[in-house]
Amino acid sequence: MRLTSIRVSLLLVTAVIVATGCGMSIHIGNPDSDTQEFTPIAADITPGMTLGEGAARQFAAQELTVGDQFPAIDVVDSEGNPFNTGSLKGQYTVLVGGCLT
Amino acid sequence: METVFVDYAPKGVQFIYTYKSLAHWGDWGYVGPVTLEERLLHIQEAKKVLGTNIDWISDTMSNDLKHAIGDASNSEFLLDPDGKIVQMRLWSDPEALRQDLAALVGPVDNPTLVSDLDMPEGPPLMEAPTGIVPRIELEGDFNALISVAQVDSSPNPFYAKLRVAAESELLTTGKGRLYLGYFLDPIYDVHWNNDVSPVAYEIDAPEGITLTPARGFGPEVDAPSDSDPREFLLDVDRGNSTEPVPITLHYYGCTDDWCILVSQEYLITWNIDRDGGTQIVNGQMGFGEIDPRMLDQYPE
Repeated sequence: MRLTSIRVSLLLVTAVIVATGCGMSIHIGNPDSDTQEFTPIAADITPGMTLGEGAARQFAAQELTVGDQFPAIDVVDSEGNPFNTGSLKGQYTVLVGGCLT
Repeated sequence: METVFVDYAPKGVQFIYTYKSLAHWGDWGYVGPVTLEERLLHIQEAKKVLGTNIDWISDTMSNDLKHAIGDASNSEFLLDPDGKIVQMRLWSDPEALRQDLAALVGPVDNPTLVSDLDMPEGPPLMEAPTGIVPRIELEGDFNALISVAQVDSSPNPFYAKLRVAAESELLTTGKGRLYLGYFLDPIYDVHWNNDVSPVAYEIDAPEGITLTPARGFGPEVDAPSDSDPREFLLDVDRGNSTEPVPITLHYYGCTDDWCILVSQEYLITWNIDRDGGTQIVNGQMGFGEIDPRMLDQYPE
């Protein structure tokens, strides 16, 4: 199919918009978003503080500190298999936060 | 980090990257996954783009691990064999880590240099041209909001991802501007096909909230295809309402081989996304001062 031959009118798209907009049942899929309580992330983030400073303050203010057991959190490995961070024992382990950007 | 890994993995040290929400949404074209499966695709992409051989784990979609360990984007933890923390840093510091490991495990005679490794250079290119559709220049302060993709109601992947940001005044006074940006997700190798109808959105606002315009179309573009985001700026009056707002995007998801019309929904909340990465301050992307009026807008 040559893409250049596909030209759908704005009217058709408008019709689709109207059709799909009626009677939709929409739910919040992320359980975390169910809460409507507004609370600061950390009590000691103060007005005027930069977000970078806020991040540093938040990191420093967390209960976790050197000598503590690393939290046991259910995540997944790179193949999607269940993985619990409490299993990181038996050797020295380096954990680094990362993402694509 | 890769050089430290090469030197200390053979000494029995385990290295793990923890994949979590993007810190810089839209950089290199990458946008936030809406499913765990997409996060796993991001991990595969990260291995390729970053050229790393370090293992990865993925945080949950609600970023439980990130929240449990201080909410930082690039933090670093060194654990002993009992799983206890022996070092923790807000920002990963490979050279400091190397010194830690030298003290704990032993020094390395000839430390590996980055130049010793065959690391990739630069970011990957988007599949279709960019820089064709002018970007919206935002003035003022905008905070990313939590928007929830309604993945269960779509048979197709979310080829385009929604970024929502609210002007500070909108969150504090109920009136202000709302930014909507639809970004193509490069993990699907799609592009905008400008020979078909442009992107369209529609908002079915709850009672008491007005968004103007509630329906809109992306620009007509002369170039046959591109990868630029489709952006919109709306005027909003939400009064005192905190009701989430449903929005539907209609667009053609296209590759060189196929092109399908997709209609996909998001639910926009009025909660600032603590995992939303950089925000816009004084019209500039980045970290700036926290507006004191914003402090009660972060959901727990």
